[in-house]
Amino acid sequence: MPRHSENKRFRAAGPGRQAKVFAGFFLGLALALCLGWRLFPALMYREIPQPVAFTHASHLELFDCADCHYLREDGSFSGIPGTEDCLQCHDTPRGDSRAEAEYIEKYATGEKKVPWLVHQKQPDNVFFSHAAHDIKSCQKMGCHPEWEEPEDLCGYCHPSVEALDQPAPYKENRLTGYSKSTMKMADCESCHANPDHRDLTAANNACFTCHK
Amino acid sequence: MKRRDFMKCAAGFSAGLGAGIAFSPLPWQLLDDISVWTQNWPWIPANPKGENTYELSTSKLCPSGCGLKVRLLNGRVLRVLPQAGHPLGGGISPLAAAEPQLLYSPSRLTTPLRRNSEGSHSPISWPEAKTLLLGKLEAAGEKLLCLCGDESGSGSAVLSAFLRARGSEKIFFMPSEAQCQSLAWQHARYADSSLPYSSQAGYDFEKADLVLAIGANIMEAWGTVMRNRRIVAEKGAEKGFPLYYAGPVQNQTAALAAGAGGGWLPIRAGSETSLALGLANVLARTHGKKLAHPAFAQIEHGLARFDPAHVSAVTGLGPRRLEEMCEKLAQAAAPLVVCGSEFGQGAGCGPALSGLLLNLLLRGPLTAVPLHTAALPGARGRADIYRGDIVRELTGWGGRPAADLAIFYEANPAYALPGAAALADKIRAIPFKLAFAPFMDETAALCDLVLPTPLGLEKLDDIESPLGCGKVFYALARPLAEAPGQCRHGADVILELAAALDMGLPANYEAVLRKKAQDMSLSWISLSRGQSFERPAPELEAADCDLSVFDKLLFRSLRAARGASSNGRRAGLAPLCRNALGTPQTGIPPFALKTLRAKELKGGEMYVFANSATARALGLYQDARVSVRAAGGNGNAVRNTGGNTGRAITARFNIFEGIADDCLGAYLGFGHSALDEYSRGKGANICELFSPEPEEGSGLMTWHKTEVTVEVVA
Repeated sequence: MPRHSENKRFRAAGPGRQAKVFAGFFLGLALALCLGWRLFPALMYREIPQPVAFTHASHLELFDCADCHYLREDGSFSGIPGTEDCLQCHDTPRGDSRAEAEYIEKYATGEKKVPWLVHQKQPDNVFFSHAAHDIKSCQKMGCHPEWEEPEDLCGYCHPSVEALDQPAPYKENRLTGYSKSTMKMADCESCHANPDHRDLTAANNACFTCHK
Repeated sequence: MKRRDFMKCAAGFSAGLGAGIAFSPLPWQLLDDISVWTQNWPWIPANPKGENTYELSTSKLCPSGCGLKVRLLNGRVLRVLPQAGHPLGGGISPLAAAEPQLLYSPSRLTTPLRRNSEGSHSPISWPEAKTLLLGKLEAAGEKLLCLCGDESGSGSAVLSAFLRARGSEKIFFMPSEAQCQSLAWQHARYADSSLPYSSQAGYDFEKADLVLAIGANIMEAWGTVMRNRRIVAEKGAEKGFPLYYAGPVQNQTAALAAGAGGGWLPIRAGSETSLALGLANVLARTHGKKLAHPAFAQIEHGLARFDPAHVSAVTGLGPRRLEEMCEKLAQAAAPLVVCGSEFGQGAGCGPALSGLLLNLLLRGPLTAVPLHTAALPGARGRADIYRGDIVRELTGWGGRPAADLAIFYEANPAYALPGAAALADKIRAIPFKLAFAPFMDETAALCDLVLPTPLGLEKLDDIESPLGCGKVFYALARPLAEAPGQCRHGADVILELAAALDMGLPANYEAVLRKKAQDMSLSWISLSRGQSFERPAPELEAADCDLSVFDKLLFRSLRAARGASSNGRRAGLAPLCRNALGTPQTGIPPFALKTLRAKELKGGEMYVFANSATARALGLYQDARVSVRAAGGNGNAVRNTGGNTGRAITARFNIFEGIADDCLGAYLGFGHSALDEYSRGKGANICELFSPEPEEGSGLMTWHKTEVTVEVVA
């Protein structure tokens, strides 16, 4: 009589015992979710401060983004301004902040390159051209009417820094050594493999488009 | 809690833990990170990090002398980019782009090699090599021969001074278009052959408002290619530029001509001179383009034979298209005609002279570019060295070689001379042979002593006014990378031998270059930083020329020459030269293999091609395996080259409509039997098919009218 005995056993478990099973389940679930969503990311990345306490917010009061980050005539992207660019204003201390003094002492005096930690730096096997990712071509297609300024497209990949008074800390993956913000292939494919883009843009999803 | 309850609670906890982890990023991100981590294990090769620096230089490897902006990382050469503002630049040629890759080739020669009795080579030290060489030089006395593969540098001046001090005048360049142009120029410019030859023809593209290239593949492999491309692109940026190309194959010049606003005039292989003279005839008779000189009556008489009907029969180009071209040339304010061999060699003086005549009639922007010779006792200028002809020299030898010691300076004659195998036998018979080579090419493999030399980015050398440039040009190639192993500049080795023999030559090659720069009033400091110099050259006037040359040399050579039309199952061979296919000394750069199409090289087999009309006439079909055989020359053919009839190559056949009727196209640069895996055993060497014949008048050996027979084989 196996069926009879199983029913008997189930009845014997009773609501109290089932509650213990569910309690254990929810306890484990809550712990795992907490571990997976909170603790693991915190453990997986270590925060490294940027070498200079640069503030985008105060610089944007004087300049536009494109004054420092622009496409050169040959199509290459200027990236982060070099020390020689910064020295146009910071050849002598501007203000008496500790960060300014440190910058002048460590980098401006000897015209040394600031070893910025680049959040979106691509791995060696990826070729990315800012010139090819131009907002004008997006506007021409009319797919994203909400993108009006070049910064709107920049913000698709780069986090907004315009309001930051301190540089966003660089989060390095302990296992891979890459930045937390480094784009993954899936991010690239959100446009390159997007069927809505097919025949509208030059976004090609062939391997050699990005991997030279 | 009972044990059973505890177990149930634990089971629920585990299930919850599992479910929670599955719904968190932990396992998925960990998997992703682990996969990335494995890619970055320290023993896996990765790009080195460091500071990028850029240095300026000029390409020594690419005959166009294009400007380089060399990218280095931590001092290691990584890449070359175009150098903005370089007089011969504007882009980067495929050959120059491959230079960094060639530097790191595992096939580089790194130590002196001595050929042993079994025919293989064994390493020896430099002192051993020097002792051996001095002994052989003493024994050879004046029976020396030198073949130089570097036309634009001062290495030839060093070699000629060395040879002259040893009592030999036998220095030659590898056959080239520059030699054909130079000899034609010398005949036209210097009626008195005892005068020192010290200039060359310059093609001033900057001033031209229409360019007609006849044969000369000026956008791909003839002369200062990158400069030509830049000028045509700049001038035609808005409305296009009238660039026309007349030649047997729709090559890059033809394609760019069609794109720029000009067009392609398909003519049979080897018929460039006839077309040029046909144009000259119509321009003189119909458009009043004449020269106010008593000798012009004789020229007109010679041109009379080249009426449109005759030219059409020889070239295959309709008379109407010929007249249309004349119309355009006559209407242009500064038309420039560049006439030469479509594969950069073997055309003799005919095409260059007929091009010169056209330019004189049209008052085209030709210049006389002065050449400077390094101030060494006994050194000969390059224009003077061009008077010698290595093909004529070797074919003139009887059973015994006329030299006991031969120096092959960055030259690969065993591969690149016409009828290569036959002439390689002549070379093999020389008692002692020395090669300066960066790779073990076909000639080095024959030599008794092989000395490793640096490549263009590893040595200090100079580039002076390459073929085709319209102004005086001078620049240095700079040593930006360290040469591997024990490589040494060939010119330095020669000067060291000269010092040991008390010849009174400078101690090293740098001293030679410094003196030359000083003589040219150029700053050595600027040159050694990579700056190039350009100076205007005087324009050429008809009064500067000996106009009797056209009757004495050009028309006489044409009276003796045969036509290049197909006869039965014969076709005119139309070789195609591509910058990307490397040089005879380097072979095909690995980069370039990727650029070859499946209908150019498939596995180890190369393709030859003809249009469908010619294919029908020859009984050929797509992808057929064919045997292409040299049909041999006429009565003037040189018979002692080892028998130039009967040599054959095997290839696949491709139908390609971008080729003139009665022509069979084939690429130069394949069929190496030496060098590395990227060059060896790929296709066949069509130099084997060339049948050299002496050109009437100039005496220069020519092979641009080679005819072949083609048969389908199993």
